Amino acid sequence: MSENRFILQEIGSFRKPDYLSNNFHKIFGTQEYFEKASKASLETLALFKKAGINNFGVGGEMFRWEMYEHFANSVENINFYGLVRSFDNRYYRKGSVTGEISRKSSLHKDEVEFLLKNTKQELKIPITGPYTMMDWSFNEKYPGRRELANAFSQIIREEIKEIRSLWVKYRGDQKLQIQIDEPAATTHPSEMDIVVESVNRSFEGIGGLETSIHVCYSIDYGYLFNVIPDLKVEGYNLEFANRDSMAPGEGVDKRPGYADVKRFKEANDAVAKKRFLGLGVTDVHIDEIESEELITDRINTARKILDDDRILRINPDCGLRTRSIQVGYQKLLNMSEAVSKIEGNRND
Amino acid sequence: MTKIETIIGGIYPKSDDLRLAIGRWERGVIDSRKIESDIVFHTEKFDSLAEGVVHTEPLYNWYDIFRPLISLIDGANLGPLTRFEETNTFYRIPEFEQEVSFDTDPFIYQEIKDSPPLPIFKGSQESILFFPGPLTVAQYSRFNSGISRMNFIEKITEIMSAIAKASGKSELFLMERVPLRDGYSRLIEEYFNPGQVYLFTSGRMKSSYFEGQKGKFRSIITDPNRENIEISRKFSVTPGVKIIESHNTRIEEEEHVKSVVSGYDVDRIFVTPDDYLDFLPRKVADRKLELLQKVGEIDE
Repeated sequence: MSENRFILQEIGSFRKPDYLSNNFHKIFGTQEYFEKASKASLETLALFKKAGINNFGVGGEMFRWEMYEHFANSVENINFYGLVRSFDNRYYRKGSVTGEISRKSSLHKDEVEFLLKNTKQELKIPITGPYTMMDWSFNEKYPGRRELANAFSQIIREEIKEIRSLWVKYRGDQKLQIQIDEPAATTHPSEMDIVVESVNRSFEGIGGLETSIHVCYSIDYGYLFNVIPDLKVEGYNLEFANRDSMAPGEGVDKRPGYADVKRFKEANDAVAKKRFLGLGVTDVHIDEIESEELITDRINTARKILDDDRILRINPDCGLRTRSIQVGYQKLLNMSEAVSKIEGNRND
Repeated sequence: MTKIETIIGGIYPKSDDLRLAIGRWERGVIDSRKIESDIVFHTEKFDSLAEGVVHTEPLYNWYDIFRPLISLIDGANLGPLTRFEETNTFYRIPEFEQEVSFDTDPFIYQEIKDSPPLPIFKGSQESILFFPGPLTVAQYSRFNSGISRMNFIEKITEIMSAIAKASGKSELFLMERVPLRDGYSRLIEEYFNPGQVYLFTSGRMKSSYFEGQKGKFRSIITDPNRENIEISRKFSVTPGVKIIESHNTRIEEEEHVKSVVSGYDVDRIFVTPDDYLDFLPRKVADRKLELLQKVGEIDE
């Protein structure tokens, strides 16, 4: 593997094997849960290695059921009254904040410690962001949305500090990569200041980090790009493939899903310290496997716009948990093969 | 002394039993006839649950406030899942590629695409009809550039009127989620008897929306402020005010409702949630409904 190789990263979740998913809720928190999540993590890490990606995230989030509920379960004063409909006959659990929130246990310590003991690979720890946690909760306690988002920031900050202490024991002064997942970031455009404030507070005063934000299925990334100067993150891992066509070809006229890369560059050019872009090149909502050629076209389109490979990373649009293990693996493999092909042709 | 009446309209959250049954129907484990009878059963149960509160059907067969209405209309398609306002829920955006027409009987059993089967309403005796307002349908849809919005709004109102007439019911809950427009009541008067329409509105009210109106609405339900209530009082038989939060699990106190109502100079008033209750877990929606039943017994 060349040193110049692009960073190929997982965004977060990957499909759980049946032995874990079939009774996840029943065994959650028990020794059986820990053993099965550990086994599933090792299998997923091996799969990522075989697929050729070089940042393993947290091994597909085998210790977490999903991004909201896992976090909420570790927080004091979030109660669940039942399911809430998302669309059609699909439902999710939405918690109610009924008192001042605090961290009752670590969200991710077990998962991170297990990974640190079992792999030397690059890791990136996704943590659900404060704004999304606020937006996806009923607020019965705090006077406003800003106050609740900031209360979640405090919990995340404590969590990152704890993970950082653990990290240093295993990885010394290597930077700890934290990815704040904020799918809700641009859903209320008038609240971008709350997004900025609460995300920034999540890292406040903690050194030795490389920070990024993951946003997907945004109504308009422009709202996010507008706050690049204010948001204290080093990278943006974003979904693009979902909004692109499946027909081959390079350039924005053939790759409509990647038109926003240009807007990212314009915003990024206005700041002194350039942010990196994690480019979503495979759609996690369809089983169709994008060909190496199509992925190559997508990457090359972004490369031409950015004109700086150093700020480009490659990833799926989002977590691959909704695809089968086989489909998820094949998507990662094609992503990796496409990058190898580009690397082979790269002249730097 | 103000007499409080209460009303709820729109989609009500399903019980776990019904949710699971619809899941089985979606997976093909039970057939459409069976899910239809389950939905009718639960709709009738809801009539008892909502006793004492003016209510629409719970719309258990409506996957969003536009379906299955849109599925009945020729010239309409269901577009991609789209975020519904600033919520974490999604709807299939109606797409109109040609002038709309309507010749489906919405009151016979019939399987339709991407929704539980017709009829559109399940025949509950206690409930009133529900439709999204015509301006709301227009605002939340996509149109082929050749379609005139003005004509569309007229046509969709006409279609709703035809369905309402065929239903044999007279009273209607019309939910407008966008600001009305000047002369709005003339549009409604052309197709409905306003005296039978509970009009759910959004935002700041203006008298110009109702200028030239011949008869009063049954109720104009508004956001809670004095100016809105004053306009509602002028143009409807009984003003209505949104007091109960539909996007928060916090249960309001009876005292809170009384205190808001006491700020208005009216003899009678409808108290209502500020949206339909499907954004809440069922258990919480039931408690809000109980609260409405309690405040409906109050003479403040």
